[in-house]
Amino acid sequence: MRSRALTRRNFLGALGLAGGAAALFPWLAQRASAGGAPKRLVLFYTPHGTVWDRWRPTGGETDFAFSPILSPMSHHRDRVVIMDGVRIESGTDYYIPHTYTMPLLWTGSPIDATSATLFCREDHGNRCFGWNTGTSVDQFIASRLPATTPYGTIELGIGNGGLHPATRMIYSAPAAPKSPLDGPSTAWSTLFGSVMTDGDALRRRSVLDTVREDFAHRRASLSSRDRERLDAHATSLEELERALVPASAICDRPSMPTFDAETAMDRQLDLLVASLGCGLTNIASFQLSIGDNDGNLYPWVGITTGGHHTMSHDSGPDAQTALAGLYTWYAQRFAYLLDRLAATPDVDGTTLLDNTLVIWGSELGRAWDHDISNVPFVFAGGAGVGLRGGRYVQAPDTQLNRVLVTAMNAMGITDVGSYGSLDRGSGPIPGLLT
Amino acid sequence: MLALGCVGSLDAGPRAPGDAPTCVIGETGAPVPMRRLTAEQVVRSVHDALGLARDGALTVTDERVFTYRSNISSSIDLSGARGYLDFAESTSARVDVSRCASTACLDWLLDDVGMRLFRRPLDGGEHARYAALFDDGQSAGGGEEGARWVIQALLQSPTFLYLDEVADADGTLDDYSVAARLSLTLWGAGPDQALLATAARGELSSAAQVRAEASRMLDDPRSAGGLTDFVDQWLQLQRLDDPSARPDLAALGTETVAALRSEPPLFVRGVVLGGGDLRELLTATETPTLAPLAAIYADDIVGSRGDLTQLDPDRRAGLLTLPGVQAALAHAGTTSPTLRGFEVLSGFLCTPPDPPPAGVSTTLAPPTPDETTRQRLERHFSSPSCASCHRGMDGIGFSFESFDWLGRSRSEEGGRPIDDAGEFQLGTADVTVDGPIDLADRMADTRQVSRCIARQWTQYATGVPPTGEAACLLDAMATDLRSEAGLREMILQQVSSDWFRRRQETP
Repeated sequence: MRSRALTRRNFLGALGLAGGAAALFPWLAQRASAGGAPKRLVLFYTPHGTVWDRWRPTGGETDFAFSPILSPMSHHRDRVVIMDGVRIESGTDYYIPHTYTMPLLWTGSPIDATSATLFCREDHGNRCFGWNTGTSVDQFIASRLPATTPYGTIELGIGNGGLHPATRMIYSAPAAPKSPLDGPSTAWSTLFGSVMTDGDALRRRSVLDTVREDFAHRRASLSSRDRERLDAHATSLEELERALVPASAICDRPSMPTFDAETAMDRQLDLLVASLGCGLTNIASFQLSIGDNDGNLYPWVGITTGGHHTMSHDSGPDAQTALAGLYTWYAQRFAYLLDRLAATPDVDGTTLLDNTLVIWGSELGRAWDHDISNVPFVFAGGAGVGLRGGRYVQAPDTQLNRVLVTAMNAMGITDVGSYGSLDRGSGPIPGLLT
Repeated sequence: MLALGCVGSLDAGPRAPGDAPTCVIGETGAPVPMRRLTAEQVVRSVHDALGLARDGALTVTDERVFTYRSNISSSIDLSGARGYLDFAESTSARVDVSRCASTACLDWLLDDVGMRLFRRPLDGGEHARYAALFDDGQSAGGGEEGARWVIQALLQSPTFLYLDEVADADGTLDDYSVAARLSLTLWGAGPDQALLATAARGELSSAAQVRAEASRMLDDPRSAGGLTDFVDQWLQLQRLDDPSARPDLAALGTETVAALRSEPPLFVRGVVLGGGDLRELLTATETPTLAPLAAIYADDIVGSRGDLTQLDPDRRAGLLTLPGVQAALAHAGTTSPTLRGFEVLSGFLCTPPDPPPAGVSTTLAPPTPDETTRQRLERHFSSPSCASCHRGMDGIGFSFESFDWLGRSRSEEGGRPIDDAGEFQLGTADVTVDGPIDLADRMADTRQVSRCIARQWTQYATGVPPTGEAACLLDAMATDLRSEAGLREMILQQVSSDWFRRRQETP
């Protein structure tokens, strides 16, 4: 397979070849002149918690032994921190499992369960709720950092379903979910598929200018909530124009991926790494499936009937063994992501993994009773983001929001000690970063 | 008395008992926020306005509100904007714009295509804006290029993608807004020129005018679109094309799967056009002929009449016994009395059960050769916490055990005779039924069923769940459904109501 990695040499070559590219694409010039490699963040999600007795390492903080589920990442031992003890609080009187914590995972703020009646659950006494009340930490970080990349953030996923609080974890603002690019075909064609000529650029600018005038014309007659929705759409068009650049000006384009159900996730992770390596963005997320009744089958790990969600309700030994097999497969995919990051050179001769913080989380700790008092987290990364790897940290009752503040600190935002409306404060997870 | 403590009810408002509602239908409109078209509505509208063959190139996702797709709360993010851009560009490349090569075609682009996409005439500013865009495109690459630029902009305009509703001080929608609601509901697509002309003449202002127009629209072939959107979501038919739900169905071939999925909406449309009532909907034994289903119906086919297939009345009765419905509510290689019972409780009685309590094992032991699916599921009943809901769900679902996972009739399973007796609660009565024909017969006499169907349609048509203010409308619709005028009258009653024709400010 052709290397998808951006080497320093061909990155500079692309710059030279493009000639006036720096004028057309200012982030390239900024990137070249900035010298050092940027800090990067990846949020990684898999659904429905874990099987604790096969997830939890044995031993102490530094002399721990990897558990069966986490053993696939053991060759990255020095780059990972296994975090045992993160507590999610729904922040609501009543808690609809999955649905309320999926959008809370990276926002640290509760769902709107008091005033909104947009979504109702027939199977929870017809209880109604709205979207999340916060902004996810990746979006907040992107808004605080200088815009040096075509995309502020990139969201990728597999099998993410229709728009619903239980299916979206990234929020650019309260009640503004961001949908992942679902599947490698969509992700590739969006991020790398378009070869834009000057003619394309002229046409798209003219077309989108006309559309933008329609937006301006239309918004005047709307209620405030509807206007917010329309304005968010108009903002997305601006982001789109910014992202519509010839990928060839940025780096080697990865070829169109081929995949099946079993390999789709790895191909999507390839594209995520290529996006970071090519400088399309410095902040990305990956979401497998949804925080909901998914019915997903994973025949390659022996889950051929019933679906993951249904099975996850089963506390019996056979189901838990089958689930542990699935969670081990997740860990293999996570390890694959780390492999790809470690194999991709960064602009300063280090690797992407050296300069990236990857955080793996879930919307539940333990699925069969919907427990959220301990949710499994794994951090991975290198010196560029200051992660002190090679450790198994047991810190019961660590508030989820500590994870989010840790992410901000790693990305260089150190003037904030709390994140999310549920945060009771006190900074990052102690000792996680240098 | 069966324990049915788990069952909720969707009815919020007051309800008159019996078949003679005394309440007065209110004059308020449904509280509907600004709606963005569903992906299906976008694709159908474009197909109609531009004369294109359908394809599924639009990847922008829809919100689910209850069972039905309705984009009332979220905004379009970058990937959504990109999805619309890609759809607009690929669509404009497929449109035949040759008429624009040598002659002026702005009239066609703006007063035909544009008006249909915007669901009203373009105003002066829009006219000037799009004419200028055409000129830019024409300068860059000729008249055909200009046409493509205009089409790309129209398809990404908020005026096309969001319902643009205008109401007077008391919330009554103007004629164009009513036309748009009617066409998106009944056709699943934007209005045609005739409907826009009716709106232009101000002939969609009264309930009687709306009723007359809606009646014409139901008779139009395009009503297959709206009825497909409704029936498909109501009966969860998307499961037929979901490989994670039914990995086995692709092996049947695309034609058979498409026929399984399209028969229920065609059947319902037949009931609407034929003036059928609730009993007809739930017990009819004539169904539109679809060749790929002959093998699935097999010996159940007893004759034909025109383009209708006549089915054995001892084996098939109405909508719920169509193979596509029974197949959608099953798993690969095995039936699911639980799914089938849930659909009846949720979609036909509006009393969906709660989810399983935490920590309960929901995985039954694998089937053994010496038991039927029914016997396997009856193990649910040995646990009190499972039994409290599953007696209600599975008790209904067992009535359909004479249909296998592809919706084929069967009299035995693994050499053991099928037992399709069902036992459950219907309304307040404990009911025992002898198979699907008996069940359909009972349901056809049950007012709760007609009211639930009225509720399902109303949720679909307005995009929000009906509140208590719509209770008397639902009662009247339920009465219509059981009267001679039947399903058609139920629909006409709803779309000509204030609930549909007026707007209530949303918080």
